[in-house]
Amino acid sequence: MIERIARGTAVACVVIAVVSAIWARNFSAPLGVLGGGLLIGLSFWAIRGAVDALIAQRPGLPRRSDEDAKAGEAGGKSAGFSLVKFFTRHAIVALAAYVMMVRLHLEPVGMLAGVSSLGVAVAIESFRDVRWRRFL
Amino acid sequence: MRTSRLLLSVMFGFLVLGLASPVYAQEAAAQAAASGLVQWSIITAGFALAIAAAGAALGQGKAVASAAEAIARNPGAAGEIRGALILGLVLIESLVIYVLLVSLILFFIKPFGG
Repeated sequence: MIERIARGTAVACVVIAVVSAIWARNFSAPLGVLGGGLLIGLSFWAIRGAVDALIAQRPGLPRRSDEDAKAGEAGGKSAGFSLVKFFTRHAIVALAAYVMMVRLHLEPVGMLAGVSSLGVAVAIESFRDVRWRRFL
Repeated sequence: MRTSRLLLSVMFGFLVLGLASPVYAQEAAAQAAASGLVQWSIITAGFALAIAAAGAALGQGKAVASAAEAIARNPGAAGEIRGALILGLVLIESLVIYVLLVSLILFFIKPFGG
């Protein structure tokens, strides 16, 4: 489900960018939309990495072989990195938003529309789920 | 009790910080009306960001606590709980990013002048 929503978010972001390019007839608005999509993507990436790392680090999971043990050690390093990402994600997102808005002068309303692409993807997914349940 | 006192002190700190910054913006009496609007927009942006961060922190904490409890009770359902948890956290986070962007617009783009 998560992968489907991530794909849907990317598709929605591109569609909104194309519509904004046609609507505004300049490059600032679609770049703003893509920037907003990048912000929500950064946040999604950090949260997913941290949640995966936390769930993978559950105590009591049996390791079957030496390969699993090696994978576990590598996973431990990536778990640490994921936790750093998780706890610094607001700073990363704020810095990226500042650079896009103030330094690169991307369209602020376009950025808000780009952040909305996740909401659009979730709405489409829930609508699809409800529609399928009705026919099953 | 102790937590609410800490929360109150943090909010008071934000209030003081929000009120302190517009003091330096007053330069000329001719621009009083415009600068008043700018001041209030900056104060509003600060409060909006603080309230959004506090609400999101509470919501995300509750979501993570519930998910951890659910995984501890039923480890076999960890995959489904993981999906719901990630989705919930990202949706909460998207609201904070909205407020962050609006605050950045008010801080740096200054749509009300100044």
